[in-house]
Amino acid sequence: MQVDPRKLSKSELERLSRAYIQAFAGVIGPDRDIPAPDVYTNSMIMGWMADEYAQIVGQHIPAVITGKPIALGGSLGRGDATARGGYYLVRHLAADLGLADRMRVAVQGFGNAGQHIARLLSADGHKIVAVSDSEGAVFAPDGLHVDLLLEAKQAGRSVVSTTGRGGHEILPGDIVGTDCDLLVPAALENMIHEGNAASVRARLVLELANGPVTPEADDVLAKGGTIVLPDILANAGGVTVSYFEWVQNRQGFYWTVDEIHERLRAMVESEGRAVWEVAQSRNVTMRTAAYVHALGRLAEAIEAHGTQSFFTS
Amino acid sequence: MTEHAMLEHALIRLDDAAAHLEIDPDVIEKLKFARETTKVRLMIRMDDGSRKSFLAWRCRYDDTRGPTKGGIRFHPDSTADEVETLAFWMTVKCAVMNLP
Repeated sequence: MQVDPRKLSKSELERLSRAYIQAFAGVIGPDRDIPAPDVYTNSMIMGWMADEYAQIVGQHIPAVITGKPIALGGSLGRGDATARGGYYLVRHLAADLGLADRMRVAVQGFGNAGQHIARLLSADGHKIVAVSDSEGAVFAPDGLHVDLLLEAKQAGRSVVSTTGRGGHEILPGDIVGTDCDLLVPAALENMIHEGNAASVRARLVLELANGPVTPEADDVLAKGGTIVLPDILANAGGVTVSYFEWVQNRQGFYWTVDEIHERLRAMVESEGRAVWEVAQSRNVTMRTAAYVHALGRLAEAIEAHGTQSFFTS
Repeated sequence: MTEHAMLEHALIRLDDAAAHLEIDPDVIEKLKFARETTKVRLMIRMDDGSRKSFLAWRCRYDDTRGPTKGGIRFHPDSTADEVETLAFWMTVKCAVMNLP
């Protein structure tokens, strides 16, 4: 939706969220099209939307939308699912990728995915050396204090507001060129492009955002030996736990957070491993491998309806 | 920028992958375009009593493998092209993870 939600009051935001469902009630549905949160939408908005849908159809149908508050049929583990999926992927492929036990990490974008990946990686002993949000970036060569960063965001302030505390300094220039082992784009599309791809010093890029690396930048990174774990695999934890939420809503039986994490881990590792094998056997990038892996499944489904060769023979 | 510049850019990755598989041309024909994109103008009452309208889209890209899914983005720069591109990525993402 074309709107700047920061310019709306909370009541206006609720009316707009409900208006969205009034307009699209015929398009969406638990067996037709299932919305979820994205940039600048959250669980409270999903809750309003689920309620509006229930009022329109006259039935309690939580499976129509995912990312709801827990009390309204949301799933445990949905909050950090996008970051957690990427975290499990990196951990699983660490040996194959030859990653260090203690990596230096830069995170571009400090919304839901950015905050959780910083928390998960720093808990494993990795150093978060630089973080950015829409107002700027901070860095600390010896590692940022993730608690300070989370505290600032919680209070509605930019990461830049932590400057001067815990050795945090303003990072001049583009965070993309930070000296680090792992670069995590967790903001919007096209952040790594032809103009700055050559400045990337990280060995590994974990795409928690959708489409953060342009096709032109992909070529530059591949030539420079940087491996990109592509969005359609790296940030799929979000939709996977949304799928778990939909399953739990439909069965009316809810899993523990440990069950959610375990199911997510198993799926990320098995699909991540399959994509890795395609990349190795065909000598292609992880992105091309992920598309090959997906296209195989899509083709199987589409071809099951019959193709030209079937109808002309 | 043409009307579908972002989606066309995203589809480069599909073509790259297709070159590595023996795929029936029907498959690419189906995945090149969104199946259905609904555009609406939402009108709400603002706190000061005025009325204001907002453009919104909902795209169902491809439902061959199961119901379509997709995030709702509230952003001043959103466009139909962006919504369709995100829906395309979601279609591929669900296939990567083997979600229905």
